[in-house]
Amino acid sequence: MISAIVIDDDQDNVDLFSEFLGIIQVKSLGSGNNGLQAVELYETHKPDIVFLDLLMPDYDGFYALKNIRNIDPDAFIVVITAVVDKNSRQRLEDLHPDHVIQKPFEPEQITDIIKNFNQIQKQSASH
Amino acid sequence: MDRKYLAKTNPADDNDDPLNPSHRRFQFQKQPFDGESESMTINQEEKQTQTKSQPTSTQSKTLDSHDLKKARLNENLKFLQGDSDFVKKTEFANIGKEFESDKIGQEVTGLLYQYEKQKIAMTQRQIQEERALVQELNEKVEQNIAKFVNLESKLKHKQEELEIEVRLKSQKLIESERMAAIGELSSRLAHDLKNPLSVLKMFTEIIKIKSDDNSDPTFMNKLDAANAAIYRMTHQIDNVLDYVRNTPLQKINTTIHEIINVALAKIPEINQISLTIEQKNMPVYCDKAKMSIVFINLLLNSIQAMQSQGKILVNFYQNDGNAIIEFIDSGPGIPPTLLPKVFDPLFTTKQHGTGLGLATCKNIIEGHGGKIFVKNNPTTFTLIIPNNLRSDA
Repeated sequence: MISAIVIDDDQDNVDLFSEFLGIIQVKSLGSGNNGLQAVELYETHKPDIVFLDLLMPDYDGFYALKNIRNIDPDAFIVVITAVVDKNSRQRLEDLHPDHVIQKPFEPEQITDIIKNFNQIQKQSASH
Repeated sequence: MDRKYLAKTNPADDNDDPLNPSHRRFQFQKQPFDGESESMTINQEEKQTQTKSQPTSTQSKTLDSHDLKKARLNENLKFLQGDSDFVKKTEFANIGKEFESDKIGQEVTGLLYQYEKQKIAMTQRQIQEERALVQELNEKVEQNIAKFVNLESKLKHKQEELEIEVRLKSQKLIESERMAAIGELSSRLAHDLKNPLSVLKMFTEIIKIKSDDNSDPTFMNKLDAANAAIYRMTHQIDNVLDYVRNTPLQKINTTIHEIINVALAKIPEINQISLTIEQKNMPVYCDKAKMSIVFINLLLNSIQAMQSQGKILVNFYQNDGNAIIEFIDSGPGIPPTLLPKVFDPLFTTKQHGTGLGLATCKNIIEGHGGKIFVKNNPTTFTLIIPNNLRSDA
């Protein structure tokens, strides 16, 4: 079973998304509301996937993205954000998130990523 | 006045020695200028020749110049030969002196006259030259004035141009500052709207999954309607954002099919209509994300105009360095009175429209240096985009 952590400053989003992950057979190891919590959760749980919001108070998604990459360059990070303005677009690209999804999203967008992740895992396991 | 009397009373005459050549010479020279000397000469003549008479004198005056010259020559010859006997001289010779003085006077007068004439001619020439010079200078001055006037008008023109440029630039600056402020505000507003929309969306999706076995057939339809409402709100927020965001173009080498694929992924209603796309793909140099916004808006417009039933044809080809892309639909078309307004911002005939879709398209296409226009029968939106593919991009 694939494991994940969910970080979003909107607690309703966190709760509903975690519930949705349960439905599609992804185990949520934990959730947080800012970038600092995201880094701590990653260090603690070492999840397969990080679902990360970008704009959060104090420690934002950029902070989390950068620091999680420092800990593990191969971390699989999916950024889920409402708006990417022109200033943050380049900043985001430089941090190489694995996927960027715009809110609100279709459930298929998440299931496709999970399928994709499964395939990559199978490939690396068979080698 | 009586000449004889005058001569006798002149004391200088008594001492006069007519035999002295040098003295005589002096007299000759003086004669034309001195009336006294003339009478003196006459006195001499009387002394020398007693037979002197007035008629002869008048007669001799009528002699032609040739005889005069002859006489003068003879007299001079006599001097040269040393013939000092002046008394022996003919009346002619003596009278000749009288003519000679006239002659010399005439000559001098003539010379003076000629000199004066030459002087006048020279002065006239000088005046003429100066006149020409003045005229030339005048012309130059006029030319220079004309040049100045020309330069001044050019300067004025330039100044006006610059003023217009400054006005336009400051207008643009104000506009861009305003747009930046609106952009920032819209961005935050969009963020704050999309987050709760995301919650709603997630909620409807989870309910949908969980109510798979719900016996109420209308329940699923209601969920779909809720989802459609969420989608519509999202699209409208994107629409406003696309319009107010004046981000610089990020042109890349892409293809029409790639742009269409990006666009189709965001139009769920596309499955309900018959879509035909030109098979032969074409490379195009443009901002892929922005061009896909144009495609989305045009396709959505057609779908809505046809009330989700009909055909859309996307045709494209390269022509004279331009990419021509046509969106043709089988819809009812646009009322002719509304045709000129469709690209105006905030113009809409739809209850749910923002009136920014086609305005955004126009902005993006014009940002690419292209053109967008529409015609009826069949309803056709045409894009013309300068298409210079970059080898380095």
